[in-house]
Amino acid sequence: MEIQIGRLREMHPGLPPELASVMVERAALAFQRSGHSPGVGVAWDCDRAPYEGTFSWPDADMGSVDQHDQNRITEDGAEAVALVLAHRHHEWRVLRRMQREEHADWLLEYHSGDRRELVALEVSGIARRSIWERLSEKLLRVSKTTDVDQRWAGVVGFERPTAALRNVRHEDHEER
Amino acid sequence: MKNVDELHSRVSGAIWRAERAEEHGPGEAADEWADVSSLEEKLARVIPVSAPEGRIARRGAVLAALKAGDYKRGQSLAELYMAAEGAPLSLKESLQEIVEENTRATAARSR
Repeated sequence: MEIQIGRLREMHPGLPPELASVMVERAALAFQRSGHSPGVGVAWDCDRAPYEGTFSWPDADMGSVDQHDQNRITEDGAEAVALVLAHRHHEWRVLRRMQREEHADWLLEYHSGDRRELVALEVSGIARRSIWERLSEKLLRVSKTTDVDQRWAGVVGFERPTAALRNVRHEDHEER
Repeated sequence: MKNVDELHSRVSGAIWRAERAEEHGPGEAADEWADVSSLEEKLARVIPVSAPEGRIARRGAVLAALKAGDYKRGQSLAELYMAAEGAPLSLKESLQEIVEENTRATAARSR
């Protein structure tokens, strides 16, 4: 499967164009800062199923990397990757951004026949180290979101490119 | 629906800008949060309280007003939404909690 991060806005027309553009640029900077090039091989996880493929992105000018906050590169880049994966796997689209007190970053929607469902997605990025501990934290956080049908967390790792998107399930609630 | 889609897109951009402005220090994002509150209020006017997005917008309007430092507006919107016909108990409780938490945080800061 080829994941094209540059198609973020096409997948999520509800994202303001300038915001989508910054997110894609920061995803590119996050991968390239770790020594990766477009077309890098990646293994990722979507709701406990393993996937393999490539991630590609519009080449970023690394000369501009110091103009960005380094944490923002990681976090905003992770949001771009997670939203692209959410669309590729589930055809979800961004409805709006959520305020942090809602315990999620994004409210997404999808239609299945006549049924419309709302999905809360909480996202984080990791410049180095494993993504799994952070994923547990984010699942716990998004499990508190109300007024949605599904609660998901996504974590993206950039040093060794990887990602995981998972649904909050019963076993996640038991930690509360 | 086009109006609602546009408002959702605008509130996404406004929240994004407020979050980034906040990173420059406490109080640096008051104007940005005031914009968010205004957009959330507009969403609350066009989406009924029976819809999940309507309840999210109502909480959002109150939260953003308080983050902008406008306690009077936050309190006034919370009272309006809690008194509205059809407002579910869960929304009333969450709005009450938002206002009380803000009151506690303000008192703690002034000590």
